[in-house]
Amino acid sequence: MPDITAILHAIHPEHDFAASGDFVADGLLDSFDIVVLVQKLESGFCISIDGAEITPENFRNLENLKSLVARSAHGQ
Amino acid sequence: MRCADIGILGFGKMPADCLRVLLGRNLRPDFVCETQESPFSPLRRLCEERGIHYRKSLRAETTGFLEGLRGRTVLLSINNNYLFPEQVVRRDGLRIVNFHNALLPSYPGHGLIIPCWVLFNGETRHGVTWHLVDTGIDTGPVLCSDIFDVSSSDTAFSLMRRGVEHGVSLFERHWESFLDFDTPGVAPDDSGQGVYRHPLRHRLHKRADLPGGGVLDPAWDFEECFRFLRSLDYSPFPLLPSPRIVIGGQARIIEKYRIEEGGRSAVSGLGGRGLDEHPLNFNQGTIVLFLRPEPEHA
Repeated sequence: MPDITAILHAIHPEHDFAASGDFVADGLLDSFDIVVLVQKLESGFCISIDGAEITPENFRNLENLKSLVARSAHGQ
Repeated sequence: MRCADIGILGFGKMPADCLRVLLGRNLRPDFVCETQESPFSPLRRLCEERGIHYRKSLRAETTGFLEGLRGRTVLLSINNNYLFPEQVVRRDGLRIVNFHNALLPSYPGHGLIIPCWVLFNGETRHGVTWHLVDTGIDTGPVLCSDIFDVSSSDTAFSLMRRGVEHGVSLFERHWESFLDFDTPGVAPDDSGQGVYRHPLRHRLHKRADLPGGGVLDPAWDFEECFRFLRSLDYSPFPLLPSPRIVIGGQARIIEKYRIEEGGRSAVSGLGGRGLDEHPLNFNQGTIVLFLRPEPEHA
């Protein structure tokens, strides 16, 4: 099972995601990053993320990302 | 020493990237005006961190704000869909520099729809332009431009992204001339570049004007179908209406597609729950569409 933190660091090794409570507001993830992140989450976890889930709230922090992955997996 | 105010008008990632370029040169814009809701935009936060005057100014308020500017001002219009009215463009002491994600005078119009048509038209090369704004739409003198190849796997979003990257790279190299009132630019002319080939490239591209009216024509060949799907593919963001196909007299929404060609398989789009698979078979390969019914109220 891949690690979401590792995926985030692969996208932006220069950012300290652990120190941020809000990846979007803190500027750690922008719209272009979201595209890559969604692709990596879908392929890494063999899930399909619904378009309605692409909201800043779901990408705000690690917990929300884990919830997004779980919901997307359960909906398969 | 600064001889003019600097303002940034636009929304999203690209103006934020250009703002960082200026800040890296110890140039602090006098204001940033974000003109559209953009949920993943880093612009506001960046301005707050650096103490730059930030305002959210949607279309109706923007003209009044610009008319109220005083003194010499360079306005950087970056990823901005606001059309400058004539009284603003003609104001003395205002230099408006705009980023356009195509080579001008080809592909004028709404920045969002340009990558869509470049792909659908089968262009193999594309470009971006920084130009001065005049009273026409994307007709002003060109300050600089750049050209890059279109990949056979590009989607509208990836093409837009690469355009932004080339635009920011140009900004890093040419920002001084952008801020210089004495740099006039040259009249747009792409006739000698040999980049674009489609005969309809000079028409004004409007946001609502989708290839094929947004509907896949089953009579198209493999390449046309593939180009159509990629041209409307801004996944994962719903920036344009999802493409459709009519089957048995009923319109269906194409949420996702998979290309199977020569041993390769690639999926694009989101969702997957409760979608019907609809294969289109060609000699070159198969395009599998993932469909859902059109909502009744649509």
